[in-house]
Amino acid sequence: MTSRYLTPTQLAGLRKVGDVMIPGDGEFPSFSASRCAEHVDRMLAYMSERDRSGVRAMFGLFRFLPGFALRAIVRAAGHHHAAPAPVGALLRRMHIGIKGVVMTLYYSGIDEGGVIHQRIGWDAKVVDRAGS
Amino acid sequence: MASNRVTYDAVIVGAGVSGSFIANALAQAGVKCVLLEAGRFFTRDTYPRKEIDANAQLYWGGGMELTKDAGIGLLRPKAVGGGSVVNQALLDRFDDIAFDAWRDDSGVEFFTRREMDPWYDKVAEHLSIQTVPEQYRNGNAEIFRRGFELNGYRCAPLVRAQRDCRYEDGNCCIECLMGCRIDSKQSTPVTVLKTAREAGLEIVPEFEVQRVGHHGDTASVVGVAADGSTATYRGRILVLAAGAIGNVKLLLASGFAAQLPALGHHFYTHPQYMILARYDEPINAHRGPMQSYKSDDPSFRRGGFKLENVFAPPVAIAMLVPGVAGAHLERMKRITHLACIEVAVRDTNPGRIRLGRWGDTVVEKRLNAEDKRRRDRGREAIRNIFLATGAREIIESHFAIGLHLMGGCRMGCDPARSVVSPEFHLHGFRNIYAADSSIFPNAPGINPSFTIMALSLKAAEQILRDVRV
Repeated sequence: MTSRYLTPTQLAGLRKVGDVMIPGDGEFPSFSASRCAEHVDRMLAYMSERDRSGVRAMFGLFRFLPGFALRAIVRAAGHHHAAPAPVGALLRRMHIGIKGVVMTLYYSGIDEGGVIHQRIGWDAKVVDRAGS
Repeated sequence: MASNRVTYDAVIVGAGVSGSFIANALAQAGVKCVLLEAGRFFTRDTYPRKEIDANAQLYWGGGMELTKDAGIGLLRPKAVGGGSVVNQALLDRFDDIAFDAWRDDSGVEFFTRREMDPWYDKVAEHLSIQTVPEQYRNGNAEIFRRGFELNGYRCAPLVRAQRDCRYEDGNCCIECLMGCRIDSKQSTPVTVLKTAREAGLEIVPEFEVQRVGHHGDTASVVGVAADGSTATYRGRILVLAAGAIGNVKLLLASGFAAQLPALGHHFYTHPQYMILARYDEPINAHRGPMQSYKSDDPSFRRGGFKLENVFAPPVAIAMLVPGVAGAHLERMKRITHLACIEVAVRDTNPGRIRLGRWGDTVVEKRLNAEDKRRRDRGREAIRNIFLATGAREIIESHFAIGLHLMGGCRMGCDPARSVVSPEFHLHGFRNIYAADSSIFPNAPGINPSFTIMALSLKAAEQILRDVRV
């Protein structure tokens, strides 16, 4: 796959951090196996260039971090509320940035086969004029 | 599209709730208006259907903007119809507590229920307003109602701008957070903008205004269209309806700070915290009416917070559920077993909107000790509700959301402490008006939409009086 906004290295970083957050199990695909990362441009196209640059830098770095370091970063970012003010703000931005991209891609119903919504039982609907 | 030579009676910036209501009132009176909007003009057939696309296309910042310390995520709609397209269309008149606080803070005498009730009534003429039918309440609403009863709290059914949601067909209003596909929700594109267009209103979507100018008896705006071209619109009057952040950004970028010292100050958000709880049995909080009840307890009102039963689509729930990997996935697998209640804080600590080094918007906004106390009292009440109704696990998020973005151009009599006069024009600029949430003097602690509409109709009457002089 290709992206207009991410290099192959940055895309690999996205899949890597995505698998840390959603490794999957027998029932649910991992982030990378869901192939939802292929839709990342649908988000990035609407971000400001400044935010996009931050995302690019982060995913580029993640590609080369060892797994344990990446897991430590994700864990630390998730505990932003316990950190003192300036560090907490940085961790919150990272947390929202990483989690926002990964969870948006995984839980939007755009995964291969559309199994994720189906398996969590998400059946919200609106019946329009045509009955669809 | 470039309108360098066209002069309108009124140029309106922002096609949200306020801009739409003012545009309709002016157009009906024969005023030649153009309504400029940065977002797209969606219809029931073109609203995004996936959360990824809705977040990206219906909000500024590609979904969410953050305060400077990232403590509050700000959701700022970007579409023709603005908040009326993406919100839950809840309509509440302000009470005396809210108006008394506004009057005390601003010195504006018409901030009373008696003065404002006729304007709420006029708004109601434009909308279908219904109480959310209790017979269709879902499991989440039932937990809310029962939890209130068991704890001795008072709640009330919500009143919503909707025509016919056809719950009997199994329709789920949570889908309408991405725009209502059956045009039941009374968003402005299907109400006042429809009649305004019939009366000759010109709407220019996907046009981002970058500067506004004041030239004595006229005003102008300069912006960029979707194709990258620049255009200027001129009018005898200018109405700023781009919301708290949008209006402040425009005025600061256009050099109004020196004449308007209060510009950007006194910004409020009603910080909201969604608390989840897991139950053994399916709750199916996503089905039917998404919201049915609100707190109606005097002690909550005095305590500076309110509760509503609420839910969100999977991406938003995934953001609220803490943790990663297996623990997170296990909770998401049980999303249909989750209930959710939000506490919205009537915040007392004013924030500030300013321009950053690169001309970007910086929002400084934090909770003070009193705001945290209010939040914590609300959280405590939510825990009581969940525990009384048999929740297995309560899942608390530390993330605050700001949906009601208010102030920054607050109304008042004193030009040193306010931006907009009681006649709805900027102090010192008699042909530049504002009537949206940016003019709120402080946080009312009540859903703001109905009052924005009412103030906008009142402002429109003032504008018509002024332009006919």
